[in-house]
Amino acid sequence: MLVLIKMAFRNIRRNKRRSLLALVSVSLSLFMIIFLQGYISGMKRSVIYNSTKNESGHIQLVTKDYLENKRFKPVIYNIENPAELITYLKDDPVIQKEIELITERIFFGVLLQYEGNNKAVIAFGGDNEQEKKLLMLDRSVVQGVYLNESGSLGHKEREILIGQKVAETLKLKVGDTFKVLVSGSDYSLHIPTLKVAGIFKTRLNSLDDTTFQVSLKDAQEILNTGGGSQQILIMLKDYQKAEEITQMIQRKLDADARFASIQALSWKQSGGFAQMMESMEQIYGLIYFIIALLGSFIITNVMMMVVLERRKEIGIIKSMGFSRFEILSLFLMEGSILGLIGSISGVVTGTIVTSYFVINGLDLTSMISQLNMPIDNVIKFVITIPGIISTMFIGIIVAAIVSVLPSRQAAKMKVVDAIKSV
Amino acid sequence: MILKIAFRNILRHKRRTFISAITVAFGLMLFILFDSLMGGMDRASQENMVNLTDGSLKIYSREYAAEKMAYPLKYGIRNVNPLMEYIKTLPEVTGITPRVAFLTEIIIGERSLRTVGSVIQPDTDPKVFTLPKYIHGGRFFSTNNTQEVILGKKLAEDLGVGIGDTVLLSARTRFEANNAMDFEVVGLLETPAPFINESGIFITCQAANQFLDIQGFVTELDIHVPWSKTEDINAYVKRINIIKDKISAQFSGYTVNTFHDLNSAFLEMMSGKRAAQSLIAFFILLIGAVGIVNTILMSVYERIREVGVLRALGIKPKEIRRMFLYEGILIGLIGALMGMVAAFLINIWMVNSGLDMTAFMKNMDSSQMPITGLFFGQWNINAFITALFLGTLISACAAVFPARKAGKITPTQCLKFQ
Repeated sequence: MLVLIKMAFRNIRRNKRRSLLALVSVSLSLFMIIFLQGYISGMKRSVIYNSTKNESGHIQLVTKDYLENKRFKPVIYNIENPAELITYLKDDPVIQKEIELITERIFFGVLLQYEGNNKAVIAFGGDNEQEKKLLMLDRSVVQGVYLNESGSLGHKEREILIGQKVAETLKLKVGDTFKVLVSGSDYSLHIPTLKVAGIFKTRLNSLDDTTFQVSLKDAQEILNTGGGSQQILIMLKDYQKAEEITQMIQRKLDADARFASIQALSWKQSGGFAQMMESMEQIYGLIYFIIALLGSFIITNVMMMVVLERRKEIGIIKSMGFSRFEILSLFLMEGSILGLIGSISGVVTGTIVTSYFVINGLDLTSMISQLNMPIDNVIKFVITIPGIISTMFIGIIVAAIVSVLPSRQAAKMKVVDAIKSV
Repeated sequence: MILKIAFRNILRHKRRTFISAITVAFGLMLFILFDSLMGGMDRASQENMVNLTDGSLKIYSREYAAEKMAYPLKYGIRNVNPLMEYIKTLPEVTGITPRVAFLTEIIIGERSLRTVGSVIQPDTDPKVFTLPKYIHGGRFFSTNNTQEVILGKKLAEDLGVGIGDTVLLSARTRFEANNAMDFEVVGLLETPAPFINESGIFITCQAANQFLDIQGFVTELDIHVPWSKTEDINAYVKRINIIKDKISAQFSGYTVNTFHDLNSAFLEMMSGKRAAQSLIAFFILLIGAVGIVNTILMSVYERIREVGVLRALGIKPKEIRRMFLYEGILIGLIGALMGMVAAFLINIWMVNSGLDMTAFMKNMDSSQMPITGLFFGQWNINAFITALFLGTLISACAAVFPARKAGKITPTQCLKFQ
């Protein structure tokens, strides 16, 4: 075997320029894969980060009835005893250990009207203090102040923190008050007075253009939920574990009659953009494979020529007693070595270039500023060691696969024909 | 003569020629198909804008245009009649209709959704928008005096209502009072525009007179200018821009927008996407070019003795160079032709049956997209011509380097070479 490897290496060095071409093309395609992977993973991380933080949490607990009507964000299918549920989960040491944050939320749709201007928004009721760690709108306040419990005057007026684009559309300023019509958890209509305490600007359209934040207590009172909350959000220390812990929580919920109607959903199940990014993954996998295949095509090309060129040699070594298998491995080895070296250089250059974008990010402001997607304007690329290694393997394996055909051709040659040929 | 030799040389190694050509063919095929699909998507979304959501041209009052994101009912179009009379005299305009967009909450029991509704004039609206064509179940508005509503099919399904059911709509009237009214669902819409399917609500102006207190007041006029299948988007936009200028010059105080102005952000994004896709195709072609360089370099080395003989026979280095260059171009040409034929065959299928991407798009919030998951290709002769040109050019460039090498070798060097 060692002899074969030696021969393969020597053959590669025989025509340096041609080998270089094959190497360059494999490197180029692996470079592209690494770069693309960095970009896609960066985008995915941004989407998952934003949509779990803003919408679904890593794990979301809702009632089964709510789930059926999810599109409408109804406020009548609430978790009646959220505090009890939270303590129940926290009492479990295994679950407690994984939880970073657990909090209640209520989303409800409202038509905002102010002096003849209209805007459909999603109101976001959350715990003011907890949300500082989760939604973090306190960091994005551009005018006025963040919400604090003492600011709301109960029935008189309730303080809200409003998205900058919503405020712009409605021409609302800090300190303005207005009434809205909401239908509550008790099926009746309520007309609370809202006061703009602050305006936030996150640069995410999905927040700035469609939401306002109100304290959880105010939301519960406005909607008359009787202390109930629409959903409970759990953020984990490691979001990759979401599915496993969701199942754990579900078993625990099913075990207690008080929580029989409640469903736990991991971020992968709760729909929306995070799930979409996840399902796109397979398509990207296919694209990477195609790129690798195209790059390795040159190897087939080179190998076919090599085989044609060396017919005479093949005849000679065959007549010297090389078996079919040995000839096959000789050429396979040659192709694989080209693939290996090309892959390594492609992965190395790819990693270096991608690292630049990992640190500095790619500015997509002009492209996505109009979109209502939970993506940051500057995408920081992500590279992972398993990603790099698997890409390298794709390169090596594809190169080996594409050299099978010409190698088999070489192995199948008849000695007499091969020697006779010019 | 040189061309003949080049041609014969190519035929000498049919398999090698085939392999090099097929790389080029594959790259060009992808290029053409990408173009077809992207073009088809562009076209479909633009047609949806013109025929279903925006019309060719839209007229607002200036004040309304400035605040149209807020759907205010306070700024209407004054003097609708002279404006309409003038526009009707324009020869290219085949339809004009008033509409009022209003933000509303649709309520069925515990389910409610906030979306934009449209007040339409049932007799003139079909001349601008092709809604009646897409009624799937039920009917279009019949008489004007009943409280009827037409809903997007997906919206109705989500709300759990069907033909004959009653829904409650709630909105602010023109005088900023809250109002709610029952409407009977008479028709369901299933259009190629997801936005309408998922959140379309249409009522007649007679019903709106009571519901929104609008009394003949309109916020926008929509104009239809026919767009033939063969007319290019740029030519069409140019044509409607002339009409836009005519109207603007005649009447002040209004904002006239083409569908292109209204969707500029989206259309720009589409063209950005297209550039990215061409870049990928270009990379593929580059890899194809490397294949050609390789093939020709191979033949140069293989035929180095032949080159020596030719040189000894008095053929000039320039001619040797040309011979190999021709070989490269011929390979590229063959590749381009193969790619074009393959793309042609696949495109027949793409144009007629369409590519069903619904499975991939089911998780997306498609209400923001102007087209559904079924993508059709389109015929674009330019793409085929570009492919042919590009294939030949790239292979010519790829052949230059090895050809120059062949030209430089001296006869003695060649003949010595074993």
